[in-house]
Amino acid sequence: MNGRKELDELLRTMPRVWRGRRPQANEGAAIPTGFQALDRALPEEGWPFPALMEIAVPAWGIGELQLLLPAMRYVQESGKRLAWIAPPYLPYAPALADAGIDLNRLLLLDKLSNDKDIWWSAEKLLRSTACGMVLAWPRKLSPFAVLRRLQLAATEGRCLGILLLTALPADTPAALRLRLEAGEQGLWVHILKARGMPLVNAVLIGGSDDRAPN
Amino acid sequence: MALQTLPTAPAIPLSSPAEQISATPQPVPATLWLCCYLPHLPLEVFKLEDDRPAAVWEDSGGRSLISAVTPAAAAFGIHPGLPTNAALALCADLRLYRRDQPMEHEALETLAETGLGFTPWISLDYPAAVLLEIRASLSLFGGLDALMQRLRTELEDQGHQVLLAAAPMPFPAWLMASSGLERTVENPAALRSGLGDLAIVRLPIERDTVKRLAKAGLHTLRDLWRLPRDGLARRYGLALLRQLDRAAGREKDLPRLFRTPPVFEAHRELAAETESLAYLRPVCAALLEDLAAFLRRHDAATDRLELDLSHFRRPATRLELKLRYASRDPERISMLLNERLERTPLPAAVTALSLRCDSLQPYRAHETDLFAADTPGALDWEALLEQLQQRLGHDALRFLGASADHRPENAWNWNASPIGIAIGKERRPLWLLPKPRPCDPTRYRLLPERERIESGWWDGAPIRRDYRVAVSPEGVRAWMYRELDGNGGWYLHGLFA
Repeated sequence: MNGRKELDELLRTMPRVWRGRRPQANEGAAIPTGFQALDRALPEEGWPFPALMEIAVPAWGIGELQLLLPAMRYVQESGKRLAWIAPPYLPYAPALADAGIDLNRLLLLDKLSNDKDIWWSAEKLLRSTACGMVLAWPRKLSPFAVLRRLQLAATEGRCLGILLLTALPADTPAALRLRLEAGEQGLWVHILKARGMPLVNAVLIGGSDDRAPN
Repeated sequence: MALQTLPTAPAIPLSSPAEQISATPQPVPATLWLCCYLPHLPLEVFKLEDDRPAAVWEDSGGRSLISAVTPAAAAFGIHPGLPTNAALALCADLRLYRRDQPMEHEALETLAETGLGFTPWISLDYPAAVLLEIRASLSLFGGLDALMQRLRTELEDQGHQVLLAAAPMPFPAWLMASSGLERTVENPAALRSGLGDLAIVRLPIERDTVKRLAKAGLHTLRDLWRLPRDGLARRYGLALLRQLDRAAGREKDLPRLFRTPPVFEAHRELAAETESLAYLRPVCAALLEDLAAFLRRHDAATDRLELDLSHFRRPATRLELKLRYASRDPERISMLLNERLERTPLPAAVTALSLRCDSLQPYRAHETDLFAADTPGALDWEALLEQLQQRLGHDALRFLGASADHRPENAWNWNASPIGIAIGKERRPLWLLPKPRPCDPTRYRLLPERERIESGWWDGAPIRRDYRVAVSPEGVRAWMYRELDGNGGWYLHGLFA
């Protein structure tokens, strides 16, 4: 155990040693996902930060928010704000409060007339230093140039931008892209792309469908 | 290679002894009042642009008399005091304007605003003149001559001819300027000799007294100053003596200071009608620069302003800009205004822009609280919210709140203070459908969890529902209910996202 730590330290301090699995620049800068299995699977041991990520959700309501709730709490606890841009439904305040989200520090942008407004406000919020995490639900597939802008904005504003989409564009500059799938046992998280090398390509999180009643 | 040792530099004295001596405190300098007298103000307010003869007349005891003339009119022999009929007889083309004193006063106020750029001490107590106390501003502007030159240029740019004179007291300064003497008398003791050749007529005393003095061969102030004071007072009254003392700067003279009404109004005509924002933006920027200068002078900030875009034969388009917090930063306001301009449809080409701002607040520098560690960049955040609000509309920005109600649709609200009053311990979905949607329960697999909500009989919106959690074939966990009253139908109400 001790020896491994020393070896890690040695490798870390030797700039000439390239370590494939973890991107070196961002070491230790990830946001814990709150799910051990997922943390272990992701090359950065958490959600990449600061970065843009994409999550493909085949149908709203399969658990996409549950997946992100621990990270949201983490961001709020670190003193930053959350922003949700154009969610598909009404976020239900009592449930959010129950989940430990500070509603005062959750900005909701609603009634956006088009995707252009969504991109525009996403970029503004990502660039803002006050925001730690921005969730956006764009209606259409977004062009590469837009995604690139958002990725840059997230990096410059030190923010985690998450796009929740029903289908993923072919090409993306995002640091991480996932696909969710509802399974009998819980939520399957497929890791489609990650900076560094993911260990596994799918993780099951959450209990079974019957975990709920208590 | 051996390192060369550098000789230690000799300590440079902070200031030479000679400088220290000159820095000894000097006695507080006396005031210095600069008078800008506007001899042609009654004509200038009409903004005559050509050289055709024109004159201003006013009512004087039932007769209309000429009170000011242009050089072109003067060439016809028209002079102030002439009846208008006589003037028209001399020049048939003469354009006559009735004297407009409110407009003159307005013009003076505008000039006083300009003067505020030079000193905060401004008075409009004297007719057709702006008085500025400039002693404290001299070093900033590089001396009296430089200051006068700058002031003259600024006033002339606004279309006014001025006569400038400076004296330690306002009255002698005004006397000199209004008599056409552009002099500077800085030393109070030199006032008497400086004003010596001034005509007695210039003093605000009764005409009779002036006539009696003239009969005695006294025409200038120097003549009076040579006479014994008690004799003067006995023969011509104390009023004359008082005016003399005022002229000599012996009497304390504290003029009322000019205070601007805190409203900013600016108007710009466009050179050509345009709908293009590229042309409007610089004009807006110029207006906002003016506004910022105005706010700086008043040490104020604003949180509301109105921009009117005038159209030809159409009501103007009005943009009302409300800021989330008061500011005077032209860049910030400009950014917000541009945001609004881009999203405001213009019904027609714009001919002119006018900016108005009457909501002034005391300016406070950015409040940075050392101890508010939990709000990094709180001000940036406000600015960002503001920008979002300007573009997306007022109701696009929301904050959620929870309220104590058993009815799911009533247990949340917008913008309320989200005190977490959770009623009951049952699980609630993260997504709520704004309106429950009828659904087919056979598509779903119902989970054993169930909850009956029966509430709201007191306010006319009662509900009686059996809530269930169900899983759709796609794996969506739904929150649905069966109506216990009415048609007994199934409705989808939320999603456990």
